Amino acid sequence: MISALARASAIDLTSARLGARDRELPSRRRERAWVRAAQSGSHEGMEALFRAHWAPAHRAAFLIVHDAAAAEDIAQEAFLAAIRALDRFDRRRPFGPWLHRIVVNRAIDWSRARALRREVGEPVEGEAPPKRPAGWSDEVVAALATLDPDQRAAVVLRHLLEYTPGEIAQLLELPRGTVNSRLRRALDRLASELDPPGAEGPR
Amino acid sequence: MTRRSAFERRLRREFDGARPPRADAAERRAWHVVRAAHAARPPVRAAHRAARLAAAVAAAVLAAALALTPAGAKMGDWIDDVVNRAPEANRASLSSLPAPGRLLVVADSGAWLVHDDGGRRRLGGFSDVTWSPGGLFVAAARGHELAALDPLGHERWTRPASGPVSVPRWSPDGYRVAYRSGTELRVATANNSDDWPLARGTARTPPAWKPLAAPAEQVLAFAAGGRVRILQADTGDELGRTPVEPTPREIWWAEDGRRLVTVGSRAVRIHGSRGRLLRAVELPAGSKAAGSAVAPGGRRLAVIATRGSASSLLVLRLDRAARPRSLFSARGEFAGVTWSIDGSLVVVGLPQADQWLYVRPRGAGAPDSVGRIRHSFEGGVAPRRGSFPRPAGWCYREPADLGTSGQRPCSSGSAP
Repeated sequence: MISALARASAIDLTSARLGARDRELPSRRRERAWVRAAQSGSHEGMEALFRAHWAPAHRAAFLIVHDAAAAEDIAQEAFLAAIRALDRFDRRRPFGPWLHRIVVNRAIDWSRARALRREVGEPVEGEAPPKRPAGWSDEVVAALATLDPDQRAAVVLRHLLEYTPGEIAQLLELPRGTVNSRLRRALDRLASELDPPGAEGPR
Repeated sequence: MTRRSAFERRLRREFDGARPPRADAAERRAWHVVRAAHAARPPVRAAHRAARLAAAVAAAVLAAALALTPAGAKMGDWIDDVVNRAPEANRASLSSLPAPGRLLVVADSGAWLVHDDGGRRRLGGFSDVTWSPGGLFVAAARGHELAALDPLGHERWTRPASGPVSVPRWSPDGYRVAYRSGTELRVATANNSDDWPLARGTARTPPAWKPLAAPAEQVLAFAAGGRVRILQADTGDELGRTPVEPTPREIWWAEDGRRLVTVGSRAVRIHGSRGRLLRAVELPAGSKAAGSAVAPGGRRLAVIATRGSASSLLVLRLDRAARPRSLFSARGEFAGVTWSIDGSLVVVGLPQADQWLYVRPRGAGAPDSVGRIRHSFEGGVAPRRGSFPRPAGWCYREPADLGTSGQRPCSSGSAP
């Protein structure tokens, strides 16, 4: 049974190994097979899940915390948390939202903690300038930095991971109205930074 | 098409096209950790039940053999012998820490930070590291350079030195970092604004800051000239010195600075806060100290004692005159020792078995052990022969974890 699953996963892994930008999220059926295989101890099943979900999770964390090292830690910790709870995971539910909920909550916590964190004898006053990710414009980096972590999380869940406002409300355990207002304020802010009224030319 | 929806599409395009810096390397590192954690999971429940049944049958057969047959006595001896050669690793790889907090590790591939959930990060190519008192920063040595980093590995500052930098140690008030440059002991301010020499011709023993001293009286103990000297770090005023004794391997302050402890190769010496010798505890005959670490409360000292091809982990009470107690012995040489920050475990390396042992200081039961330690920290660097990843210091995950207990949030491991 396990070897059959592993074989199936090994085949599917080909698609999971594609570049992050070139691949679609796995079908529900295929993902269920990966989860079942990973629960049974299959290395291939685990790798297929990881390859399919790492890039979106990592990117989401980065968009919220704006720190490459922290984003890597957060996404890694989310996968470790998922592995610890793997046996209890209900295979009828999709894996992605489960993982994204951990990632986004940890990223928000990290961003808030960084704002509070200070120690006597802090080595330097200033923060190291964040490295800009490939494929982003300076304007977007600067505009996102003006949002608070909760707003960034809402924008990332909506426009990167493509959840509906209702799904975001469930993921973050918030009233739907709160999610809508966060999204509205965040987009207003981003638009005023990136697309000021009166600007000319196609967008 | 509304202006708003056009803007949202633009935003989505930007998001889709973006990748975090060094995303491929991050994915490789993460998969390494995730794979290890997945491999270390206990088998599925069905297998659990089968294993439990098999273990129960095996235990029953073994008990019957031990109790009922003359050969049972021999089998008992054999089992003892096997356990003492090297315990079976009951964790296949480092998928989590056995106690809360974060552990600094120094390996050939550099310095690493391990979280209690098993996540680990390479901080950089450093040969020694130490926590800041609150666990928010790390001081690190790399060639002729001292560096301060945050736990994500971001370098906050670096300071060049004339000699090879070693044994950095952060002061308890957070404002100073002591380190050796060649054989010179120096002190740098924690914001890198100043740096001054304190002593020349010092031994390679890590210096030890006296805990809980007043901010204006930061006191440092270090080995030089056959003694341990106790100096006021800002003025260089000597406050005390020990009698002439063999150069210690480690120096510790115990009981909140009331005792100065030096660990030499044959004995542990306990001094008053000005260096007067109070008592010396000899290690078992023929044994040699190969590392030590003081417990977070400052009342117990763990010492690795090696004799021939065997090692023992001893614990010595520092607040009372008592003989050292052996917690665990095994064939092979232990390497590197540190306490978990909650004081519940002592971590010691067993290079021959490629394991870390988690030994309970109360001596209850066999230690847990975790295998494939070299692999966990190889980071693409082939380890030198004889070297082994060394736990260098344990810290709570966040300073807030401490509450108001007043306990020290970070501990240091044995000397390199």
